[in-house]
Amino acid sequence: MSASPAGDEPLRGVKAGRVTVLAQGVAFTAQHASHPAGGAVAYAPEAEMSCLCGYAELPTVMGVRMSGRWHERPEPGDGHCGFYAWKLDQPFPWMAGTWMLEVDLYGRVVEHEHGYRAQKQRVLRISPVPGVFCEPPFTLSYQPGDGHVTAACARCPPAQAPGHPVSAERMRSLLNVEVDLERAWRLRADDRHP
Amino acid sequence: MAAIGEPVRTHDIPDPQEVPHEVPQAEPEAVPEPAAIPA
Repeated sequence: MSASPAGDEPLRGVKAGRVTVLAQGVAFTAQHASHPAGGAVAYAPEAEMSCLCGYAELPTVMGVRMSGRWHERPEPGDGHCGFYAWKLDQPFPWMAGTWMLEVDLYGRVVEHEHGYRAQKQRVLRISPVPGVFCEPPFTLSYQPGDGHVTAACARCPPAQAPGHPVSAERMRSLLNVEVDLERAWRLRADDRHP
Repeated sequence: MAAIGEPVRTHDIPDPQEVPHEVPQAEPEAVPEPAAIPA
């Protein structure tokens, strides 16, 4: 473990997430993290981390229940908070219904062997992961229930409940990020990594 | 999220000064309620 030489440029990473229409508006939501009070962890395109480590329950020591520590920024070897992303050219989980997010990471960034844990993150470009048998062109819609924005194509079976269509242009203007409807599909079809 | 492995080093990187790509800037109040997204 070492400190890096002074570098001013953000580190580029890639991650899987969801784009979700919430009551407050459109946001990114984490796949594997949830807030202890309930609900998905949501974040804006440009965001600073919120530590949840203090909610973690640690083993009881001599009758005293220990709790996790809160962090203002990721600490190596202590806690698990921060924005997670893989380094480029790592295998990517092409899970239909999720999105591939290309991000810049800055502030305190703990570099790991295959990825990063960062204090601050800015989403630069997003691309939906379509179904395995999908082919362009893709359209976007979201379901009123979970609010997840997903891509579909002409070959997709009709949804049980009709979703609300939303255009890529609309997503681009709301989120202030580049939206590429076919980038994830293309990378997967070519068997390449982001 | 799949394993990112063991920590190897830390970086302290200043906030970037400029948005590196050109897309329209969305005002916070422009984010609609879900029903406001045109069908």
